[in-house]
Amino acid sequence: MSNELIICTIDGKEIFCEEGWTILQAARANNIEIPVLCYFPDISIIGSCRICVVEIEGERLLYTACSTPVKNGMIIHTKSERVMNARRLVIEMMLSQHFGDCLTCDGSGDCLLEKYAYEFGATGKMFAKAEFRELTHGIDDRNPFIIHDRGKCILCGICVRVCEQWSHRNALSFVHKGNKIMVSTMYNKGLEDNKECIFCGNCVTACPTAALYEKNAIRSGRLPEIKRTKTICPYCGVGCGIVVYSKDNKIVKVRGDLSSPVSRGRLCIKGKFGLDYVNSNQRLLKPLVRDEDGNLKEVELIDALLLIKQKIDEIMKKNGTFAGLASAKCTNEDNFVFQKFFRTILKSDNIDHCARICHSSTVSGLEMTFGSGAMTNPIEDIDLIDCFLIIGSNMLSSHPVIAWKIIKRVKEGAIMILIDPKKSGLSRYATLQLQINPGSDISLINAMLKIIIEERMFDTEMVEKRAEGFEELVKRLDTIRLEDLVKDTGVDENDIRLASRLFAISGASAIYYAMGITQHIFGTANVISLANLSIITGKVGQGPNGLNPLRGQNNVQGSCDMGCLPGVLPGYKKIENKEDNEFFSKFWGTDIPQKKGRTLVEITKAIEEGDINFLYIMGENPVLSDPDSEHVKEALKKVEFLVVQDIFLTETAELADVVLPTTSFAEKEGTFTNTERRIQKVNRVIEPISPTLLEDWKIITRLAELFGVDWGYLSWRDIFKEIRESVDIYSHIDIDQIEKKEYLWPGNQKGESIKRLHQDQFTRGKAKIIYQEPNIPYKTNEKYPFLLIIGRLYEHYHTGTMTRKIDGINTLQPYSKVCINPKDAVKLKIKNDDWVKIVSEKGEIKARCFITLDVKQGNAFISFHFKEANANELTSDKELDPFSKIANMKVVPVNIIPL
Amino acid sequence: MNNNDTEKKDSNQKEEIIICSNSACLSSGGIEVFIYIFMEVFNNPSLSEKYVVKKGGCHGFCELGPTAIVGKDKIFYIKLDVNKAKEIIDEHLLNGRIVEKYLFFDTVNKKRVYRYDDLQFFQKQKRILLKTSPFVDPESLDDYIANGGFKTLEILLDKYDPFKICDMIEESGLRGRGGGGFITGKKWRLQAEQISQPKYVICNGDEGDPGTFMDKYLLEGDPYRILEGILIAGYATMSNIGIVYLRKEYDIAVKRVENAIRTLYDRKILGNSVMGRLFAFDIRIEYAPGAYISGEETALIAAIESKRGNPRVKPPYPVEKGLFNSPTLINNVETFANIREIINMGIEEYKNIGTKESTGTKLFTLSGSVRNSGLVEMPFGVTFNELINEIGGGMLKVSKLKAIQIGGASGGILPASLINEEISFENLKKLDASLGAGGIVVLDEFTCIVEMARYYLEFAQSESCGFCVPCREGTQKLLKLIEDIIEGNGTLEYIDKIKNISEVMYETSLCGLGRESINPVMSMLKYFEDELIEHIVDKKCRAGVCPKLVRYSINPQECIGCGACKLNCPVNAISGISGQYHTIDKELCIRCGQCFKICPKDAIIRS
Repeated sequence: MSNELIICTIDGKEIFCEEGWTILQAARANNIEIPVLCYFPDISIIGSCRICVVEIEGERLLYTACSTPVKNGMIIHTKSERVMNARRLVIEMMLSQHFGDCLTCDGSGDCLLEKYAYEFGATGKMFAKAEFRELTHGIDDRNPFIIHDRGKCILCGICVRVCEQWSHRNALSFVHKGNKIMVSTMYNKGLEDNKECIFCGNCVTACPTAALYEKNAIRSGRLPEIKRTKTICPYCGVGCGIVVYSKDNKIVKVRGDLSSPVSRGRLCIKGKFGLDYVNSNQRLLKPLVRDEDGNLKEVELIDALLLIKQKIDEIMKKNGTFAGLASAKCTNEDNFVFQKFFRTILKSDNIDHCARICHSSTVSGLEMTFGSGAMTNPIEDIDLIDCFLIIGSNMLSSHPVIAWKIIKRVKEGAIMILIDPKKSGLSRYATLQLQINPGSDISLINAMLKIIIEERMFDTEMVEKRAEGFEELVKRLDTIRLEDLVKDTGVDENDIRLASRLFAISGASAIYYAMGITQHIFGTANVISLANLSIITGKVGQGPNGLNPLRGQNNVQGSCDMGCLPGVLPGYKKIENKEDNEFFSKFWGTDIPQKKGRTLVEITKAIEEGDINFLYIMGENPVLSDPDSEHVKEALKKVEFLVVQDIFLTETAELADVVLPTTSFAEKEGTFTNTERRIQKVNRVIEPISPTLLEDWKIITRLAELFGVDWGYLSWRDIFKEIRESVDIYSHIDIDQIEKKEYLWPGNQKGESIKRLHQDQFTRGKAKIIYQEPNIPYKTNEKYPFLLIIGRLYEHYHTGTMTRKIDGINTLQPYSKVCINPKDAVKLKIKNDDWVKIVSEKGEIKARCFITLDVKQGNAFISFHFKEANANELTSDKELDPFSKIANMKVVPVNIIPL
Repeated sequence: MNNNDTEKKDSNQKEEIIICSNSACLSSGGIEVFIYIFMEVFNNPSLSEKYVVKKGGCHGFCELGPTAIVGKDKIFYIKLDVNKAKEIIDEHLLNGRIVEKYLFFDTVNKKRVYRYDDLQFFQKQKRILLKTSPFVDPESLDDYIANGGFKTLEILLDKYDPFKICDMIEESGLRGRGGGGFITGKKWRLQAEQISQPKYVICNGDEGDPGTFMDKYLLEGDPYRILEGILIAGYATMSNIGIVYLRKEYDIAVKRVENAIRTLYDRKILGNSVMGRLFAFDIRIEYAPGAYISGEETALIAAIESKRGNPRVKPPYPVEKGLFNSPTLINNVETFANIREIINMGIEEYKNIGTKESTGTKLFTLSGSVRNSGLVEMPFGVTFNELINEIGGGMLKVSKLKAIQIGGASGGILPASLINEEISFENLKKLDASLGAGGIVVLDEFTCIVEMARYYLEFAQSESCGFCVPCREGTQKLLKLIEDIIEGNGTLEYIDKIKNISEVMYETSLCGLGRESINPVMSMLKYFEDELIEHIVDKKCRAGVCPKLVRYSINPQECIGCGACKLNCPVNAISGISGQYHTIDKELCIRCGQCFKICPKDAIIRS
């Protein structure tokens, strides 16, 4: 860094510049507008549109502002005669190849070419229109999502670069050269035939004209009658910002929000094309109540609520118990009100939600070791990491936007160690992949710990000053042999050694993990092992180093924060802790239960045993998502009274006594907390599609009113104020600034967010190293010779309630496929797309098979998105993790029988 | 080593028969001639005692191939085939009688030329780079070393500091021969000052200009010289990896460079310890994807990185951030060919060759309507007159010089009146032309300049990478305008339009291709504006090339009624009875000019 001062003059204005600035940056910093077409944030600069040219005094040529660095003493004119003439001519030239008609173009109003043509007075008449060629100017609309109108293409190449540098795919590329150049796919096959395209639609977001456009948004409205609303994507835990375009109370299209600090405009297929479910005609509009014949019948909301009230009174009278399942899809406010309703009115602590079956082991494991169960570092720290250890996460499918950030870093030279029993999309970027046997995570981590200690690569300061239990760990590790551990994992010892060295020695290392670690009956042990690894190498609590669980649902972090867990009050206060209990009793002005309630799987068990009479499910679909579906179904049928609050008549809602329709994220206001603990504002995009629909919290408030309690909530703000007052980690948030400032929890006294946790001290004081005994329960036998891994697909989300309503996504992934190694396929004498029966101890499903080398011999893979082949019919909830009560939902010994 | 020495002695005693083995000669049957002569000499003990047959590099007189240089006297046989070779063996080799009819016939002095050195084509040239090449086997390292090869490198490795070499090259005034004319030594110094590793040296052999082939012949005829140049550059800039960037179509060049690199590795001239010194250097070949633009330095880098061969914006320049973001020095083949000579001759002597600002010699490819076309080496400062009339042997037949096209697609068209201008970077810049790679096309009066401009624009339009708007669209728009003019639909406003587009293209194009593709048009506007206006206003093409702008009629006095024109007219526009004069139906005539070409009496009038 040189300290030389750079001063340049732009349009007569002296500008102090930072070193390395381009002219464009200098101009933008001073509100001098320079037109750009091929420039786009976060991608490489090619400077090909030549519209941003500026005149530099003393130079014969004109220079592109986007790529030319400023030098001291430069005198720049952005609006001189020469510049304007050149720009006008360039626009005219573009217009001569432009076959779009602004009168009918969907992009009109949003189109940069139109904007600059207007600004420079280019009429398109200076040159004769070029000859129309079907190949280079025609329309390609063969795929279900994106319409590619090459006649509107200005060949800026943003889509090509976005595809390559945002989504790390190479679906689009320049084809041919000279006057025949066009943007196309390999062999002009079209995006749908091109295995590279993942329909993330980022090219559409980035396209400055309407050359790439959402197919289903054609003719559904354009500016200015279209309304643009910024909000947060309702799918995974990344929490990407989206801009929703709506007209006539219908969502027209979705674009990435370039100003979102999380995603900077990036979206995956789900966020981009997966929001049609909001306007789906399958939405529930009126409450349903089961009549005498057992059929669901439409009633008015008040009747439904009165029925619930009546039932609650009945059960209360006979001292029955209540249980509720909150939702990780709902806002913080919804969840807060939900648990408040249960704890203050029903006096029940049997509240849980799907976090139980995804990251409860993270919460318990990290709570034991660090004192706080969340991502230790913000997503932005990815840019500072040199070595990623990704374990048990198929990120490219489940958290694409974070995965893309990591891949970008890997492309820049960082190391990626991928630990996954099956090959995933990340494999092609991984420096080293350890394809371990399913379930051998602890063995592997212990092996790594052993190697790190043996080669003295641990962080002495960390284990001595900031952690406890290191000696114990060393002692215990001494008792086991490395060879045994290595044998368990099924990978080469040298690879493990290399991985350990890379991880321990790299400047900044971070672990990213997800459900491959947690959804086991030894999930907590897995998480603790990872914590051990990061503690002894000092890769946590120091700068960007960290241990990061990737949360699955958009607001699973928030619903945990809001205390929708048994025994956990908002802000992770313990219900069994006297002080905390008293605080909330006083705060809410009524007694709350003293004893910890039941967890999700325990609730189903309790129902079976007749211990729970009333179950209220808000926005969840446990029939598909919870282990042993058959068992869950049975339980839900058995419970005395079941209330389901959802936007669709899900498999769970079909079993309910009362179904309450509610609003989707697009009709709501409130906040989501994403995986990096960032609290983001959710804005109302459209009014509820039917006036009968109320927001989740409103329904519960109404219900509470029937019990004679008035909480006084008029809008989400009132609830959020209450959250601020009662939840320490949210107390720094200024409700008026929430859209302008970045808020992550926790905050400090000054009201600033603390982005990195455990920096000087771990939340629990000293980090605790707890040795974990390796234990692999997944054993194949003659009856069940395969290990079935259950995971996710990129296109679908969770139980498919949302994504399977989207036609386009359904055409891409219409049915469930079980991935089988070719060698096994030969043994079973099956070929691609053959039907097979998958049998486990618990049940059986049918699916088509897909033969791939991605899975090892003896393993198979299936996703759980499809109710026709519900993978959770195979899983069992018999055994649970001792700490977090999570069931095993990842690996099942099965038999595969060709049909 | 001993073996080699005796062999060398052997071959020194023996007389040499050198068959040119460059692609032009090989493609016209040189390979058969070589095999035949080689086998004959090999099988005949009396001949093999006296003669040794070997391949030689190119001497540039490619029109005459296949050629052979026989014996100490360097008797120069041209246009050989197997029958002629048989005759030469029988007559010359066995009986010592020179076969006169296969010698070169000097049309100016009207006599046969016996000896190679006596040829005016060679005599007039100042050959530095091509001096040894015709007599050295391009496939033999020993032959190259015997002719002084790798001596220079050895001396430099032992005695000179890298920066000193950069200084020497800079002092010599050597300028990049690829067309840019950047001072080579300066570039080397910038590269040498870069500290990041690895550093690359790339030899750009992707020439694509219509009518240029000097890189090809240098690589084919003298591959070791180029590699030595690269090695010296590598040492001087402290780089580690050299890359020869080649067109795959140059199959002979590819084969020879491959062979040369392999041999150099075998002989430890390349590798971890170059010539046993503390300097490691590797050279490998990368193939150009084939587009004209991929010879541009940043496009070339992209191509080697297996990306689409597109240019990118500069800065950063390749010396700062080049191949795989490492410092990269890119020079033309011919630039590397000069290096050895500069060091050998000494800077002072080298500086004396050429002009003040453009030192040394330059290879020109002479083509068009000259008698002797081929590869010519002349010092800078040579005039067009010398090139065309003295070396080129004047114009073909009776045609008159009209214009000179220089520098390929990015060069310019100069009128005949500038024939006495010197060729050098600085002078051509004054004339609004550029040297380019050194291609010179001599145009006679049957060339229409507007059509020439159209041709080069068409080339630029299809060879543009298509990235930046001014180049992609501008070439198309210019082409459309010129085509309109050729079609006879032009108006005078077109000239302003052309000027405006050209100006914007020059100012705003991303890379040199866009900036320089307007040069043919600009020089047309500068030197041949009257011809352009004639096309627009009078709808007339004085060269008679633009089909829409000529009218054909038959002079009744001259016509003998042979009917040849009638037979050849593709649209049956000519009528007439045999023996009487014919007429052309102007409505039907498509102005293809067939009748004009076929008429034995020149009775067809073109106007």
